[in-house]
Amino acid sequence: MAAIRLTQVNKIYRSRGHAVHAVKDLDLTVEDGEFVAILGPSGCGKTSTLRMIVGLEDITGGDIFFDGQRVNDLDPQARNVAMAFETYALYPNFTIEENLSFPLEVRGVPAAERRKKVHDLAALLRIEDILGQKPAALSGGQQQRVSLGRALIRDPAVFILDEVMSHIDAHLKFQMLFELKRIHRELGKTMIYVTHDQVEALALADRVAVMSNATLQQVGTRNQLYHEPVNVFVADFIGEPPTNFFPAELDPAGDQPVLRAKNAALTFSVAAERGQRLAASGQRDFVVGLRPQNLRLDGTEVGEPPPGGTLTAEVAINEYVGERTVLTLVADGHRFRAQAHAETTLGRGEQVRLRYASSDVMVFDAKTEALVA
Amino acid sequence: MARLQIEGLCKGWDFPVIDRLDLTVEEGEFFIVVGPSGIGKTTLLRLIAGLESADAGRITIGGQDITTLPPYKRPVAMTFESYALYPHLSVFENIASPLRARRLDKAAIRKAVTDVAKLLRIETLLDRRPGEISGGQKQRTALGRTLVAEPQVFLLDEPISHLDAKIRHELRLQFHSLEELRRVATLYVTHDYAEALSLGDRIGVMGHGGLVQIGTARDVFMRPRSLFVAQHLGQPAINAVAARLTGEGAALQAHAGNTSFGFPVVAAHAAVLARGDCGQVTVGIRPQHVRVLHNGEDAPGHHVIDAHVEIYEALGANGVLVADAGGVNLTALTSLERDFAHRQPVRLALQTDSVFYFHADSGDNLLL
Amino acid sequence: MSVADMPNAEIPGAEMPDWFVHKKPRANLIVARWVPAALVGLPVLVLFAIVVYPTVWMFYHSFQDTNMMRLFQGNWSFVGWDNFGAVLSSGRFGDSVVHLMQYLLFGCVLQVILGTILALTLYEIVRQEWLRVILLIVLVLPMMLPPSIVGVLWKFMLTPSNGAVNQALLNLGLVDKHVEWFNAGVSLWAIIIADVWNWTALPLLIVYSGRVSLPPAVYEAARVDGAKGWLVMRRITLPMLKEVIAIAFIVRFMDAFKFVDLVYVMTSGGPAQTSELPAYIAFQRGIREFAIGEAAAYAIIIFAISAVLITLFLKYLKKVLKAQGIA
Repeated sequence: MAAIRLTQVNKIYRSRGHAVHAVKDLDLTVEDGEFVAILGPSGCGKTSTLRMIVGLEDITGGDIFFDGQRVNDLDPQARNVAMAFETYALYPNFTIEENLSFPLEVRGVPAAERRKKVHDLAALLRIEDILGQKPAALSGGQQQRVSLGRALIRDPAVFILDEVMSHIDAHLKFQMLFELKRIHRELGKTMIYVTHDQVEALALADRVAVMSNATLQQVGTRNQLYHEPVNVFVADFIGEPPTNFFPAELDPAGDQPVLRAKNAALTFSVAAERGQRLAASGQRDFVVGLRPQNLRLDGTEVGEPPPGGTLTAEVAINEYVGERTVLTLVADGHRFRAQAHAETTLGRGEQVRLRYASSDVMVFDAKTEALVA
Repeated sequence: MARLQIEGLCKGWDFPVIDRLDLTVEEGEFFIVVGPSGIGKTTLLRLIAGLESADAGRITIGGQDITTLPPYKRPVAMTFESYALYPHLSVFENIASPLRARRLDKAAIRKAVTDVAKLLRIETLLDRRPGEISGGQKQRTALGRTLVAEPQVFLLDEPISHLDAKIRHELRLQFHSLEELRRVATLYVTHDYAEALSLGDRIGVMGHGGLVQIGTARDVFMRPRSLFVAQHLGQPAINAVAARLTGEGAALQAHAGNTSFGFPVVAAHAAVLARGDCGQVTVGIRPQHVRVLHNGEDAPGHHVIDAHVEIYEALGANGVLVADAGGVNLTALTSLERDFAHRQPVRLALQTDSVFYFHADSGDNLLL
Repeated sequence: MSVADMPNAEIPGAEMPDWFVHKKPRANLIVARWVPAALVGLPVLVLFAIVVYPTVWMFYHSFQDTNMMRLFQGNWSFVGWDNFGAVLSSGRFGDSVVHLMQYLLFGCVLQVILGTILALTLYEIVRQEWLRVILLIVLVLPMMLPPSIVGVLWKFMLTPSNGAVNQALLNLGLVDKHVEWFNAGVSLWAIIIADVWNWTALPLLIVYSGRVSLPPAVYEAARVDGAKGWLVMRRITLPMLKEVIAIAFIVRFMDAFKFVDLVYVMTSGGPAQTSELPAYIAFQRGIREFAIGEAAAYAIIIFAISAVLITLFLKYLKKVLKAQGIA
């Protein structure tokens, strides 16, 4: 078991005169036994970060500590990390049993003990019946479990999982997520999970580190990322369907300041105290973010609506997705989405009123894109 | 008049990938085939495109039999899962390639390509190579290449499955609003049920050998013909509980063996179920029909069960709770705001009028 | 009962709709009808002229007492299996098969082993890309020389009195007198040495390209698992390259059966036929001595043996590939 600390870690790739700064000044701490996900779009530097933690990649600048010990110059084995790969990377000429026992074989564990450990683990992963087969004969999900198993078998300090769910069919993925969560709970090991899929990251991890453009944007729990995203990027990346954004101006007139969407009659009310703060900042240009889940069809909410406001819009598209309906709406030239009950049958052209709570309105600085209030 | 008609299509004799498949896609219809990977969805498209030859059956487009025509003579255009753009050609040339093959004159090609590029909002990328654009842009280029061909049938193979969530939503909108796509028959293949439900005028759920059910989004989701269909639409997957029906008439009860899990069957269902002799069934309960009650909340018209929390996770727009209800694990959908601790006692309200009953062996929906 | 379950004979045509019958695609041509016919026909004609006809001719004459005189006079006659009998009962053929075994074992096998070692050393040890390329080119050079040149080159190098090889061996003190490279019993070794020098690059290239295409993620997995050096080589690299190495061997193996050139240039099978290989005898008997019937019998025997062995090889290969899900 180990706590991991990255301080001012940098990675620069050089090839033929080009230098690509893949990771910039990254600071990240993962507590002992914690499950942390590194989330970001492709090319954001998350895989480079992970490879530096494992020891597959040199560190250009900065330090990585495992339990306070600097590991920059240690190879993966000495760091005692285990890793599951996106492409599974199973040994094709080994049976599943041999694949699982190879890390033990390398460490000189006697055959009888290897056998026992493999069978115990196979039971945990529910792959006992395929131990005699070769990887090529297995489905993607089974290969995935074997590759997890190979990482789990040798009791390492840290588990690193690289996009391990990306090749699994949607209807199996959910089950695999639970499986992984269960394994984490039973073993209590430090785990780092890299993915581009926010659903996976938010479902699995205790904390999520969001990266973009080689830089760490925010580290936080699901609730923090969801309710207090530090900037437009995080607000946009976290949440499904994507967050609605409206470029807006502060209208300080009156004692209740409101934000008015550019070139439109749409207004967003915020709590008075928050409005005062916005007015006091001296800024006028903002970006308002409002999640589709927080825009409710008027009259469908349970109980007394919290203080907020309403928007009137016309339905452009009604997307029924089984458990819910996603409405794409148009109001005054602005297009945005709202989430509604599965039973909603509103069609194209119908007028709707949507209610939102003031506390759900996120306000960002138009220039820096950082969260202001 | 260009409807796509497929009759008795077969591929493979010993282990048929497609076994006597019948399907009609009307002109202007957006038809989606959804199913797990490896079930033969792509094969179906390839058969229609002429990339593979049918072992039996007939494919007609607008009344013309195309079963034995070579691909280039068929009035179809297909996008590939891997986009299959020509890496050495610019976006412009990629889009223009079907027109070049038809030896159109230069001006006409330029006009057609720029029109399509504008429509797909990639007009600024025309000079770039596929290696220099993002996945979503590649997908639009591939789509442009099929649009420009002005075919009578569009075949789209997993066009947006491999893109980021945000771009996926964006392109989904585009599919909704592209008039060009809505004018002809389109056959769209995906493994993502949300995509299928959201986009399809009609949806065909593919199982082994062919389409298990065809219907509108609400049809296939609310009235699945079999357990297979119910299990492949919806995330998290439907709760499937092996149960025994006991009692008579209005007092009919469903009970899971060796557990204390059970609930009364609503009268409407009981009337239908009583007609068959189905003691052993598989009960299907969608997670959204299991509501986690707040403290002291009542749920009239629901069957309330005491349970305790096994797992609680956020999954996209919802929270997912797996609870042990008297020995049966039930998955429930909650709103994201709520939080639950492991082993915490909860009360679940089953919306018993939305429960499905499937035949224990065949998996057929007994209520249909 | 579904259609798939039905035995074909039981499908009654009359009861099936007319489209429910496998239809052959009609020809839909964008060129004149004669073009495809010509495109297929011409190669077939050429193939017939240079492959089928000579092969049939050879089979025919292996059962005739054809020699040059009779060939020109056109009066050869059927002798049944006599030619085959003559070949199989002659000690010359038996000896040549023993030589062939020797050549396969010490020539081909050595080439594959050496090639594999060189390829993997090059890939694993040499880190600089440019150096690797240069070394590859240098190692492949011998293969680019025509065998006649290689033969002459090594004939000079192995000249007993003042050849470079003997000089080097003497200077290094490995031998105390000149090795008579072209004496009976040694000359075959001379040929094998030259051949190894000539052809080691082929297995090297095959194995090297095989190694390059192995998935890097598997090696990263091994690194994380803690496996290093020889263990990775023995448990991961070599097993994954098994088929590639087998293919390299098959290629050399097939060449062995038609191996004539170096023998002809370096020793002409001598002295006293001690370095003859089956193909060389066939060449010698047919082209030099015009015993065409007997040469044909030689050729057919060689063909039969190699066909059987190579079929077995390919069967094995297919099985292995199938087990790994590749084919």
